[in-house]
Amino acid sequence: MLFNIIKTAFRHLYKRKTFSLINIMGLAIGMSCCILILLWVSDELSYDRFHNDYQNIYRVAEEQKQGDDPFPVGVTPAPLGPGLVENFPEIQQSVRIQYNISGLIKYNETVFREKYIILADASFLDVFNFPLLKGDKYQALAEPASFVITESIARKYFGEEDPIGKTLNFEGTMDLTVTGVLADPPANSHLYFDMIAPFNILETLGYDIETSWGSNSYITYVKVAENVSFEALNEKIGSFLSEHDPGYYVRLHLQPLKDIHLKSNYTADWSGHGSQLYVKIFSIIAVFILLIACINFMNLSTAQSPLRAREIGIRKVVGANRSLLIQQFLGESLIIAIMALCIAVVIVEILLPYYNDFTGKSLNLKLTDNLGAYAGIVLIALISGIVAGSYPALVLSGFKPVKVLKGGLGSSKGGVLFRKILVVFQFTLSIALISSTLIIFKQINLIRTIDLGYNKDQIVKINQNSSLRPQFEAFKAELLSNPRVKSLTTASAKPTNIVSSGYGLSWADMPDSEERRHLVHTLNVGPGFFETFDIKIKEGRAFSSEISTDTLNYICNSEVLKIMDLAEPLGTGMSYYREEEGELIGIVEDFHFKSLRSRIEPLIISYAGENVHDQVFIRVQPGDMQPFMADLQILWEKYSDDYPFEYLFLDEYYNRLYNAEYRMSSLFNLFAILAILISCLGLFGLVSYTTACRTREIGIRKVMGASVGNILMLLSSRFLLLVVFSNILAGALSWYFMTKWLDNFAYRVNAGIMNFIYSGLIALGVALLTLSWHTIKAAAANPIKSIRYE
Amino acid sequence: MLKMQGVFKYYISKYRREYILRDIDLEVQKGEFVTVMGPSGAGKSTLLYLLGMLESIDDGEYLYKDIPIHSFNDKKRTEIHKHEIGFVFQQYHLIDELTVYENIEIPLLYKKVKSPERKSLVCDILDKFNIVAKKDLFPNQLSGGQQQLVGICRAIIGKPDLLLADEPTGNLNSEQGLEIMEVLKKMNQHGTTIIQVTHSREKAAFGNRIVNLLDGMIQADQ
Repeated sequence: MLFNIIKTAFRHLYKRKTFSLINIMGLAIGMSCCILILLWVSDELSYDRFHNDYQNIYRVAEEQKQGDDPFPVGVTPAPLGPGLVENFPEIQQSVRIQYNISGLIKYNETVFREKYIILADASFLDVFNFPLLKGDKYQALAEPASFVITESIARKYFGEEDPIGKTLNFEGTMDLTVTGVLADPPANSHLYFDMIAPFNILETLGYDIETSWGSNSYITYVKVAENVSFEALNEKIGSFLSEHDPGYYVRLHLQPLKDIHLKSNYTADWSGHGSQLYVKIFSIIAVFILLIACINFMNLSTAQSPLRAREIGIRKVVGANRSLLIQQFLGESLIIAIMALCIAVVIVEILLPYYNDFTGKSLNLKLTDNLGAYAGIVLIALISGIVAGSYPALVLSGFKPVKVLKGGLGSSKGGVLFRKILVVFQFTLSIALISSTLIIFKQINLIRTIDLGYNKDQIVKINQNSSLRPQFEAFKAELLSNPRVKSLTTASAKPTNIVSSGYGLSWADMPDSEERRHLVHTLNVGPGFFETFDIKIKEGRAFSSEISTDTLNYICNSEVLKIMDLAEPLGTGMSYYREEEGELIGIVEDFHFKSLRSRIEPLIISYAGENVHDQVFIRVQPGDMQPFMADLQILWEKYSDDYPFEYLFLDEYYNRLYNAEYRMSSLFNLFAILAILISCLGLFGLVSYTTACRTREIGIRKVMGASVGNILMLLSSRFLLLVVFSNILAGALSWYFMTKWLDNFAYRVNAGIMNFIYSGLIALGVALLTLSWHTIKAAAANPIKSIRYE
Repeated sequence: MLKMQGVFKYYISKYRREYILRDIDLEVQKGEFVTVMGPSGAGKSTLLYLLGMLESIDDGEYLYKDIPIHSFNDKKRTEIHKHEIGFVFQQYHLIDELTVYENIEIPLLYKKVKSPERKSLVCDILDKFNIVAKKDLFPNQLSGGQQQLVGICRAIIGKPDLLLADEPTGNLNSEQGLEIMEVLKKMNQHGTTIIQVTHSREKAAFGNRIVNLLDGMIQADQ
């Protein structure tokens, strides 16, 4: 029986090759999208679950207040970790991490800049399960001046030599001895590092890590005992920090390790977190696309039903009951689904390298890594086989044998309506994807082109170092004498991304109630700052190197003015964490110093008087960037030959802030195109069927004098009407989801009506093209042939 | 074996009953070879389908082997189709995607006959009708007469006691038609009850009883 089913299925497929091809390819494309998304989603969800104790590990984070709004902060004071372990028996261990240190590492003649150096407590290797290839888990980070490095770093510096016991020099100031080698951390770890030095090193560098309760700089993880109630502990530790550092609002809470990657929204945190919203959106898209593909399948199969009706009639007459027939049709669709799956796996294999580029992941289809995903993929095939086959199976098996054998089967009214609903559904989803793509594209464009309030183009950034620092004035003079250089400045941070902030703002006549209530961002700049970045002073004046007291004075943005709420702000005495009071001398035009996801926040700028900061920004004349880089390199070699020549273009750096959005947008593009492609495949099949059914009608109409245009209208209008109707539904759908997405941005485009109109037109155009293939052929055919054929 | 009493069949069209069959009384004994005749639209095929339980009666009573058929559920009816009734159609109604052998095999598959037995049954019947050489051909590679032979093979392979034939020779030339009628006659002599529908007096002569239908009513029964 099974063999018989398989045999008939293959003969049917072979007999109607075009139809089968459309059917299988549509399903295969849908499945491959679904598999690609599934791989991505399962990778996103797998973050940090490889640690044995991941369910008992938490990150301790803070909630501060920005005025009255909650302001979540990812970093905590250094004494917090040990303090928690001491005071709460449930908390067994704590790990403090100073993340993202960048520095020059030197071994003999080999020098590289390493960007992913972290400092961590000795418990790091015990709490987390990064496999230690060499060295002792308990000792490796316990020694002062020890250094644990990853396998690839070991290879980079030492080649095949045994790294243990070797000494690496950090920034020319400190020698560290390698005491352990870790396997490279897996890609699905939110913690990323190349080298780990002991946390206590901070002490030797003169930092206070015992009592500095007021300074939030480190990420703290804790491991709690088994079976400790998360809620209760969360409640218990809530006020721990404010007891040690009273005076402003701060509440601690625990964030489960497994939530860090997808549910983090903290200021000052590891970068590169994922987003739960994207996981949700893409899961929905995966389901959508699979549905679209399944609907294709259903549509094409039911449309073919008259061709198979006779077979069903015969089978019934000779004694097949309904369940046997249902089995047969489900069997057929499962066979098709499995064939589609095989093709889909091949497609996925081919696309994976590009897809990995797109997503910035290293996904693969290896069975060993993806047992779960494979189960999911097979499940996808089974589900799509059953979903896609169920409707045709139920409809076809319900045919009355006498009717079909007499040849009296037109497609039933209900069937036609159902097919229409399916087509509308399909196109609704596709159009929704297209219009979402348009909106995302516009938002990305806004990000690229918005007036940030400063000019990020034509700026190159280099870092000072120990050889450059003593000769900086000479270096600066030589640079400024280069006609390609417009101006130069230094600052404590890139204006693109200022994270340093504090509650230390005070001003003359400040009411006591306002003390330590407002979180204000801060930037310290050297001469030439406003000029170099093209930042305008709205009122008052910029800092001047002529006026020596300017190092005490401040410039702020309008958000700070709102906080101070003064009638005559200019000239007011104010201070930010300083004993000595300065004056507010200028108000700057607001500029976006953070990602566009957040509003412009209060910012005060102070002045260093000289160019003493590490970050040096050089504005280059338009069009001169390339030759200038050659000049700069020559100059660099003259002044600091012992350091590698490193630089950063500010506009590139800015674009990197929106990597997640760029990726999301390219993925969306891809899937929208595929969705409309699959829908059109379905439409193509459906039209070919209806046109075939109406060949005789078309012939008669032509004999009666209908023009080709009339016939085209007749054949297309019904389908076009469906597409138009889908447009309306799609508009509502994508409007709903896109406003949700746009809520992520404080600065955003409107999900305006034009987007929906455009996407509708695109879909209509593509549908029309698809239709025309068959309709034009049918309309132009010689009518006598089709009539005589009957 | 079959007994119809006061059977009506109608369709509702535009709120009116359109009668196909009226007040049919018909009794068929085991072993009979009955021919139903009449002009187009007289209701011959409908009568045949009613007798074969492919359509339901709207009024009256139909006893199949002394059991009223309205007591049968779908399952029972399928069982009867599987084991007791064979159908032959004017348009042969072979499945195009299956070979001669496979077409004949279908009823056995649904009867869940084991593979070796199936094989010997199909080979027997192919042999009996002299079409062994055609067994791997597809229907469209056969002449009409050969297709109808396959149709008959398929109808009788399950050894039904009742064979219902709807114009079995209607699409065949006269020579092929006569061959098929000979086959039917032989089967009747071996004990199969046959009811056929035909236009042709000549073909009707192969049977032993003729029922004449006109406008849905029995005109004569000889």
